[in-house]
Amino acid sequence: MKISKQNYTNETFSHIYIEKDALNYPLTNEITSKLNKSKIVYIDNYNEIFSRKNQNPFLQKLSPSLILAVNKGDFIYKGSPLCHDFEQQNFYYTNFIVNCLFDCDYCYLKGMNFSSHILFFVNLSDYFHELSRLINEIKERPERGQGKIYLSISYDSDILLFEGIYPFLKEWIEFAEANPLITIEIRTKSTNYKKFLNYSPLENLIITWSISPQEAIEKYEKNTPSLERRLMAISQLLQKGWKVNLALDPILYIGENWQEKYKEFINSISKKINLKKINAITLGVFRIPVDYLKRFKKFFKSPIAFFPYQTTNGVSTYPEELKSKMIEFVYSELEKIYNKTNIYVV
Amino acid sequence: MLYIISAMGIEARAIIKYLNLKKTTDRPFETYQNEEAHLVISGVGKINAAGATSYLLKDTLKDLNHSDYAINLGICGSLNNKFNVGDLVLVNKVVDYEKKRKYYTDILVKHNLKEGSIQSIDTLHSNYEFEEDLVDMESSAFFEIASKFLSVHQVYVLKIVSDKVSKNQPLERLTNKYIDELIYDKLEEIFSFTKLVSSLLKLFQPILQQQDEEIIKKISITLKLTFSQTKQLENAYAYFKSNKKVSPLFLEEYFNYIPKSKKERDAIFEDLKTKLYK
Repeated sequence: MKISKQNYTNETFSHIYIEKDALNYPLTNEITSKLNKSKIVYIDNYNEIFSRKNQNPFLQKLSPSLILAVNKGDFIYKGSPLCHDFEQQNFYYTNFIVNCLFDCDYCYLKGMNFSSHILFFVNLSDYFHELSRLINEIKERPERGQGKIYLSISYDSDILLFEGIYPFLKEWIEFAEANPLITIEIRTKSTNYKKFLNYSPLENLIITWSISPQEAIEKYEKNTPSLERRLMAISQLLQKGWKVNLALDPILYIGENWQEKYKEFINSISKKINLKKINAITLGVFRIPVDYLKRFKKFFKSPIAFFPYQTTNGVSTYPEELKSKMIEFVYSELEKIYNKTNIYVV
Repeated sequence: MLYIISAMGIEARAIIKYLNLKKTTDRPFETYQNEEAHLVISGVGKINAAGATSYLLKDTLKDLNHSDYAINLGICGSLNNKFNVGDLVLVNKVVDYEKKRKYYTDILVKHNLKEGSIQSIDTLHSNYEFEEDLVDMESSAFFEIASKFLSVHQVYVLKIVSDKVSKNQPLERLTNKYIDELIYDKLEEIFSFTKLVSSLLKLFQPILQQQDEEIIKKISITLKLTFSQTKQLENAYAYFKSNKKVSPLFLEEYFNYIPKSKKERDAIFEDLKTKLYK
């Protein structure tokens, strides 16, 4: 049932939709000059494309367009209870890029967004301005965790995929350097780690690699690097002293012999990287708001969409017994080889 | 199925001949069809275009056919120097000039056509602003209605530039022969494009095909499943098919089970679900 990209589908970013307001930002020129073969269509507001009704995000994955826009709404959001907060009181996330070129069957973005086109907000300076304001606000209120903020900047995209056309990394690293009270987390599956080698490791910048058994990668994480390549990238940055987390999230039910496969997977991690150097490991089974799951069923053809999940308080996940078994098994395998105080479960 | 909406009979003449379409109705709109295409002649203007589009697509929703696509095909004026008379343009932005509403198709298919934007107007007047590349009188209404029936990647506007519009000069009346030739010259390009669209759309078919739906329906009736059980069966069926990459045709053995009680029905149903989720 896998759809292959044929000769008759457009190249990625064959079209760039640009908000007229975004033309005032130098970043827009920088991006369009790098993608100089793309057709440009001018729009008034990114929602004219991104939030149109009657789109097919499944087919759009074959040929995603790029949208350049100015974020005029909220820049920083409180972290979702469905995400790891590392027991941080001030846990936030932000999204200057929305959607991803990877094609993971379980990705909540496919249920959340009407479109699979990639959205770049080009007014990054406004994000830093708003963050500085938030840092000052929290600093003045010591009851809020001594002014510390934990900020994930890549929940709504795998941002490292785009560094070549949207050079954000330098700016975030500079911001983290200048603001030690904020810890920035970049979550990725990519192997685009080399850019980090241009900088010195930062105590308050964490790169979290999302990893899965190779069988799950092949079945459910289309277009993503293999486990081996991800572990190689992790190993490189660990050697250079970068702070790295591992996310075994989502843990997926990959058939009746899932235990055997996860055991093998955890063994291969411990062989390929020095787990002692890993900052933290997060665990969580597949979970998704039930409304997003409904959109999965409408468009997607993966068994991930049709598993008989249980829904509690609007969130669908594996039945309690299976869920507990999965978490307990993976946790017990991990604690044999890794300090359990640094294992976080959601 | 390809659905074509053209404003004037003369715009449709070459297409009807090329596709060998047969006339099917005269009223309320003139329509033509064969096994692969339906065409309607809407008449000039947005109201006509909206009415004819709706008339033509009225059955599409019911059929849930992801291979269907609709094209507004005809001539247009050019408002700038980007395009020359005779150019075939795939429209990537449709603006309703009076309502100030904008529509964008999803151009997922790789093609060699020129692309441009179009504004649809009710009337041409002296204060009229040239905001886009092209101008016509139907495409915005067509797009607004067609995209209620179909996804935006199934709705296209293809226009052939027939004349340059100037603020200072009145529009010239175009002869039928001239329009017919304009369209005729672009038939190969038009239908090469439609073939590409058709190929792309065939990539996406819903997980449950007609044959699957028939099996589900038959089991639901035979076993006297409740509404909720039928929905559960659909989900379990889709799980099996997505997982094993084939339809669970073994379910046909349940066609002959007639439960004597609700208890027995529920037991058969649970057994059936277990098999599908295995």
